[in-house]
Parts: sequence; structure tokens; C-alpha cells
Amino acid sequence: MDNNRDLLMKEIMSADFTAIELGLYLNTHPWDQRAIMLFNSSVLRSRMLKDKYERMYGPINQQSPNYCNTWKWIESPWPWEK
Amino acid sequence: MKNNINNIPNDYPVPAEMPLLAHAYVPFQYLTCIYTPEVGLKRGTIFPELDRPYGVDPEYTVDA
Repeated sequence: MDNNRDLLMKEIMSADFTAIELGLYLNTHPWDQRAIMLFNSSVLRSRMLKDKYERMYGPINQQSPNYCNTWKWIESPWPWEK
Repeated sequence: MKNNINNIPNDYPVPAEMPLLAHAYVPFQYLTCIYTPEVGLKRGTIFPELDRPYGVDPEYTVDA
């Protein structure tokens, strides 16, 4: 499997994890401006990376936009077929 | 919730000065620095102050 593809997915997972952690922190520290700023930049980064991934490799989930004239979601390989 | 100039509430939790018997207290977390996303995902937390894997710190380990 394409190594760049795996690296990009790992970057998405990392950005999402940071956003989840900062979200939990903000639940108990809702006034923390610095955390809000870091949270927003993680979320925007994740969005940007996901958009890039979906344009290059196909949908991440079934609600992803389809950038082809055939339906990409059902195409192999699935994660367990790699 | 009334805020001062730094947008920190005036009732921001402070450590208990006179801890009462049979009451449990949890120190309040203050944001310091955070790990990069890659390190955070690997360590399982983005907060260095919470990065205490079980089995490494004897104070925090029962039988490891």
C-alpha cells in the first residue's frame, strides 16, 4: 500500500486526536482562550488534510464527497484487505 | 460567571487551603505546553503533565 497515503492518514488521526483532547480540556476550562485557539487550528488542519486525502485517495467514510464519476466507496481494498 | 481582563473567571478553582477530613480533592489542571499531534497520538495524551504510563512510575504502579 502507498506509504504516502498511510502517512497522510496518520496525520489526520494525529490532528483529530489533538482536537479530541483539547475538546475534553475545554469542557472543564471553557474560558481558556489559548486552548480554543489550539482547538480551532487542529480542527481546521484535520479538515484540510481530510479534504486532501479524499481528493487523492477516495472517501474516508460514506458521507465523504465523491470526486469521481463512479462510486468510490465500494472499491477495494478495504482496510482489512491491505 | 464574571471574567477579568484575561478572560479567566474570578472563581477559577484554587487548591483547598484547609482540606476537610473525608473530602476528596482533585488539583485543577492548567494548560502549559502540549505535545505535537504525532507525539500526542503515540503517547495517548497531548498533555505532558498527564503523561504517566502505567508501570513506569513506581508510585503509580501496583504490581508491574
